[in-house]
Amino acid sequence: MYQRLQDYLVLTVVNALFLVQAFGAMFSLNYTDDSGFGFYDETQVVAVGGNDGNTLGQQRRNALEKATDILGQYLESDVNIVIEANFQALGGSQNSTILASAGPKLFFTDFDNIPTPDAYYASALANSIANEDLSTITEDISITVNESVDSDPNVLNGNGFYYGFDNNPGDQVNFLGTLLHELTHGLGFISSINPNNGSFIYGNPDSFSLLIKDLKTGKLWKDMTEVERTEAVSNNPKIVFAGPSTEQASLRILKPLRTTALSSDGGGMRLTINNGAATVQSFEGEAPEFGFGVPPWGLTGQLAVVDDGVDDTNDACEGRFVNADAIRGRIAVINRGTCLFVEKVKRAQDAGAIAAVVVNNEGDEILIMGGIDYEITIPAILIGKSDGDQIKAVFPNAIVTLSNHNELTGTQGGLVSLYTPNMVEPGSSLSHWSDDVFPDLLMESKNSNFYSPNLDLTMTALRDIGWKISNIPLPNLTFEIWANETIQGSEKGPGDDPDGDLMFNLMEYALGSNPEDANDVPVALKFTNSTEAQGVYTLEYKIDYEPADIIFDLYKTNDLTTPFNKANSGLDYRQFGRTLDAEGMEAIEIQIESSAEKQFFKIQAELYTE
Amino acid sequence: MKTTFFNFWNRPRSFIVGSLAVCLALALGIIYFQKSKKTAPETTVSKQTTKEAIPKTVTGTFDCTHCNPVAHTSTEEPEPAKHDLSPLEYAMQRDPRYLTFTTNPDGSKSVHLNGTFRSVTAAKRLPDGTLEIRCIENYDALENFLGASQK
Repeated sequence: MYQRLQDYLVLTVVNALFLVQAFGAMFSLNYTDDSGFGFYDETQVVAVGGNDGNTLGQQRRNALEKATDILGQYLESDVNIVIEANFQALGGSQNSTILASAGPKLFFTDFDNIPTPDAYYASALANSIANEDLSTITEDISITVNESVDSDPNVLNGNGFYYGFDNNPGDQVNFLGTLLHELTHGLGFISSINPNNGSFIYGNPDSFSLLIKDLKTGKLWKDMTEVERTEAVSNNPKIVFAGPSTEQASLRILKPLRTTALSSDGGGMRLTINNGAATVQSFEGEAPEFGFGVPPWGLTGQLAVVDDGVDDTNDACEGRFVNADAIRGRIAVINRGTCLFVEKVKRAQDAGAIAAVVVNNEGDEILIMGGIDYEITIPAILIGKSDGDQIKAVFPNAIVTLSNHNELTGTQGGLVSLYTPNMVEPGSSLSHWSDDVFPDLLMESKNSNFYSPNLDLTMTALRDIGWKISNIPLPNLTFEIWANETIQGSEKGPGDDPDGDLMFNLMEYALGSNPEDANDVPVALKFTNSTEAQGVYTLEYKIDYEPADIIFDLYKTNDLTTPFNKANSGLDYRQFGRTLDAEGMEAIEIQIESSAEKQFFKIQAELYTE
Repeated sequence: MKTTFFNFWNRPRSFIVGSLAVCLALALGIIYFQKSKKTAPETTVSKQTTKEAIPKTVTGTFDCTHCNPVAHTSTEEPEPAKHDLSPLEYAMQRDPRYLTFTTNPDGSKSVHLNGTFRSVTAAKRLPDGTLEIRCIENYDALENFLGASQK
C-alpha cells in the first residue's frame, strides 16, 4: 500500500506522507492540505502544553502524531495504518460549530483469517487481521478538521483549538482529545447500521455491531430483523455492548450508582469488617471520581490509620507517613480535610497502600470525593464521621472487605450501554457509550474535552471487535476468553496441561506464559530475607496484569503434616503490586511477617466466577 | 532452569470453580523472629493549608464534573449561523447507493464508502455559557444540535 500511495500522491499538489512509528503499530499520515493552509499553516505560534511546534501547522501535525502515538502504544498491526488528514473552512457561529469529521474509508469482508465470515471490518482492522494490506487503493481512515475554529474570530468567540498534550484546554477545544475520538471511529468503533431502516451494509453486520445486544428481547443485533432493529434503536438504555473484555474492564473503570441523594442513606460501596468467617459490621460509603473500582469479589485487607506526623496527623496531607511501614500492603484510613482528596489517596498509594478509606470528619454525610488524578489506581471509599470514629476506636486494625453493591453507572445487566437517543435528538446512535457512564469516557457521544491517558474502555472495545491489543492497563481478560484465544487444541480447562510442563492452564493464565509451549515458563519466584532481618521475608514474582478473574491468596502451615490454612492479607502478610513492565507484567511483592521458627507457604491462584 | 510448581486442585468455595496452587514457595527454617519496631524519622514538614476539593452531592447518578466547561458569557446578540454543512450532508449518509462494492482477486470483498459513514464532532454554547461537545452520526441530529437548519 505504501508504494501505491506514493504513486497516488505524486498527482497531488502539496501532499506529504509521514511515517509515524508507534510502539505496536505504524501509522502513515497523508496530509492533503495546500501549502500555507491547515496542517501546513505557517502562522507563528508559541509552544503550548508540551507541543513545541512553532507554527500552527506544525502544532497540528504534532498533535496528530501524538494521537497516533497514544493509540499505537496499544494497537498491534504489521500493516501500516494510513490516515488522510486535512483541514477545511466549514464556518460556524459564535455559539456553535463543527469541529471535525472522520471515518473509515473502506470495509472488508471474506479476507484471510476473518474471525466472523461475511461480517464487515474497517479497513485498518481488516489489514491487521489478514496481516496484509488489503486497502491498496486508498487510505484506511480519513479525518477533516474545521479550519474556521482557529481562523474565524466569530466562531466560538475565536477561542480556537487547544494544541497542548497536557489535557488542560481551559476554554478551548481539546484538539488531541477530538482527534483520539474520531480516529477511534476510523479504527472500527462504528456501527454501520442505517438507523432509519435497521439495515446493515449489504445485509451483513460489521464487527462492532456483532456485539450489540438488545436486552429487551435478549437478542444480539445481528440476530434481529431490520424491523426489530429499527424499533430497538429507541430502547435506550437497553442496547448494550456485549464485548467480553470491555465487560471485565468496566468493573474497574465505571463507578457504582449512588443509591439516594441523601448521604446517610447509603452509597454505592460498602466496608465490611470481618472477624474470621463471621461478618462483624458493615458500613455504607461512596466511591470517588478517581481511581479504579474494586473487583467483583471485593478487596480485602487490614486497616491501618495513617500518621503524617503533623496535626491532624491522620489527614495524609504532609510528606512521608511516619508509619509508612504500617501502611504498605494495607488499607489506609485517612481523615478528610486540609488537602485535596486526590492528594490524600495518591500519598497512600505511593506509600504502598492497596486501598484508602477516607473519613468525613465534618459529619455523617457520605460524599463523592471529587478530583482527577489518572495516576491513582487503588480503590477508595468515603464513609461518614460516626462510622469512621467507630472504626478508628474499635477496629483500627481490622480485616475489612471493600465492595460495590450498586449497579455501575451506564450499565445494564452488567454490560455497558450504548447511546441510543431518539433520532431527532442531538447525538448519534450506537457508535458511542451511553451518557450515563461515569467517569466520562473517550467514546461517549458527549465529549468531555478530556481524555484519560489509559483511554478507559476504548482499547478493550477495540480488542473485542478484533484488534490485537497489547498492554491494556486494565484487567480485561477472563480465563474463558484467554483459553479460547490462546489454546488451539481441546485441552482448554483450568486444570489441563496441554504442553505437559506441569504448569496447568490456570497457572499459565495467571503468570502470563504460553500454555502450549513447555519452554515458556514464567519469571522464577524470588525469595529474599528482609534487610532488617526482623522476621519480614519478601517473595517476589510476576503476574500477567490482564487477567480480571484471578484471586491470589497466601496459605501457610507450620509443618507439612497439617493442612495449609489461608493467611490474612494485611495481618499475616502484605501483598502489593508495582509498576507494569513493557510486556504488561506486574511485579508482585509479598512481605510475610512471622514469628514461627519454621513455616511453609503456598500462593494460590483461584478463578472467580459469579 | 525451569521452575517447578505443585498442583493443589480443590473446590473450597462455591464461587470458585477452580483453584490452583501456583507455587509451594517457602520453607523458613529455624528462623528466629525478632520484632523491633522501626523508628521513623521525625517529620519536619510544617502544616500547610491547602484548599480541599469540594465534594459534590449527586442525585441518582453521576454527571460530568471534570469537563472543565468553557465559561463564556456573551453580551452580544447571537449572529446568524454560517455553517457550511453541505459537505457533511453527504458525508453522514448511510445509504448503499453511495457505496462501491468490489470482489477482489484474492476472494475478499471490499466496500468503498466514498466519503460517507462519517461521524462529526460539533460544539455549541449552552445558555449557562459552557460548551457542549458531541459526536454525531446523523445529519438531522447535527442540524438540530447546531441550530442551523440549512435545508
